[in-house]
Amino acid sequence: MKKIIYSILICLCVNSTLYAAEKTAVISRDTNLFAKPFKDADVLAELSSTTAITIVKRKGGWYQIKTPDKQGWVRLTYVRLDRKKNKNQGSDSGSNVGELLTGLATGREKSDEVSSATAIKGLSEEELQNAEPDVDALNSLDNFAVDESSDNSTGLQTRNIDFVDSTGHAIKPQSDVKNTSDEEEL
Amino acid sequence: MIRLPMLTTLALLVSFSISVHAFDLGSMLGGGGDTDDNGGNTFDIGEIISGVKDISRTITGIDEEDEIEIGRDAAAVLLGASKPVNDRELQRYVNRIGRWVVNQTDRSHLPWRFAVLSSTHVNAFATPGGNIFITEGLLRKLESEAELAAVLAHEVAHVIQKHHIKAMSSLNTSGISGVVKLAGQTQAGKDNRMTTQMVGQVKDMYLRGLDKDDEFEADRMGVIIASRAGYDPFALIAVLQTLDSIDPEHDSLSLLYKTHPPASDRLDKLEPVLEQFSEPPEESPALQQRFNQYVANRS
Repeated sequence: MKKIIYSILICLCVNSTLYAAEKTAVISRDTNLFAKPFKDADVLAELSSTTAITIVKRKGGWYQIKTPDKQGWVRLTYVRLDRKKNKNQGSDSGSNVGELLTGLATGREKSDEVSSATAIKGLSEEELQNAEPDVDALNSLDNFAVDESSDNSTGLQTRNIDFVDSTGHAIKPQSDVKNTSDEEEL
Repeated sequence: MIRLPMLTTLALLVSFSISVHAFDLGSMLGGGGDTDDNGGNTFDIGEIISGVKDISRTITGIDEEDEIEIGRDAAAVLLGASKPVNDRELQRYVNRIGRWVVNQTDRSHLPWRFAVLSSTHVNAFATPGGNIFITEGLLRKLESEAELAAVLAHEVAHVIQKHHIKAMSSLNTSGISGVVKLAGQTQAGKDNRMTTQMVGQVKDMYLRGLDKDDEFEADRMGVIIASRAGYDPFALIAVLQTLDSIDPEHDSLSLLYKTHPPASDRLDKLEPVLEQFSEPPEESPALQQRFNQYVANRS
């Protein structure tokens, strides 16, 4: 008897996890369904754009997805989450992809419901148009600033990566500030 | 005119402005063109020098001091529309992440300020010189520190590339020098008050938005900057997919979509950028813990 209860409990847990994780989506561009999350992996099928899919999980730049008859991997950027479900729900709903991506619950309460009842405020076109400059608010930002020199370790490992152009090719950083005042002092 | 002579002419003009300024020709001639007592006949060497300086400015960029001043004006206007959220811990956290991100760029010396604004709109803003704002509406859509870093890094890229300076210059009839002049009037004025004209130009710029290609560039650079900082390069994809899943007609997205390309287009453009990344870095659970502590579980 205990065994059965445990099995049911496990099933419930597994089911609810899957339910929470799986998202319906569509393929945005014709692409291959790969057997593994690699570009040179076996191609299982060709998926055309607008194919309806279910996302199982994410690994790096890949989603593991299901179609009615197949399961495999597609590139992350070729997927668009299903918007119909979110129609008319606006900013306080919508699928949070991160939940799916990280697999970690944030423990967020659905307290957003409260604000969805109230009007969307601040920084609408109209509010920006009517804004009076607020220098005090600007100066108050100094209270939270973190200096360049302050100990700012975040537990992350920095990496050396070049910027890329629109085709993905590395370019030299072009952002060096050429200060005209320096030149004028020559 | 063919290309080479044109470039040579520009180069000559620039070198002229440098050497003229170095020898301070203006004062050698008796304090520039403004001491001509007989009025009107002599050419104004000061005008010419400043004119040539403007040309050199548009080539080599803007004085950093001017850039920061313009940015302060722009930030004051945005803060007129929405105030920083009254949560010291949250603001400090966002500044820590932002600082970590900008330290991976060659403009880390700017006076960077990050703030969460109490607006329920989904949006983020940058101003020249390093003021970065994210709305509470957008923050609530984010699920991880990597996503927060991705949004901040996109805005940071706008600052590094001076996209707003470019946009404001194109809206001002006198170009960059016109914007610098207007910002200078703020500094000189009483109580740090901005001229109505400057306020108007700032609003105009934020209501029109930046060049679309500059948005795509900021996406590309943002991904790289956040990755340099050790974050998941795919986090911006996650943010854009979340945005893409919201009804685009919703009020909370109106200004964002008026001023930005559709999220779906931005996703398309990012694909080649992400080619080089296979696996995201291992993230310590501490990252998610502190994101939950400061952002997700915030009352």
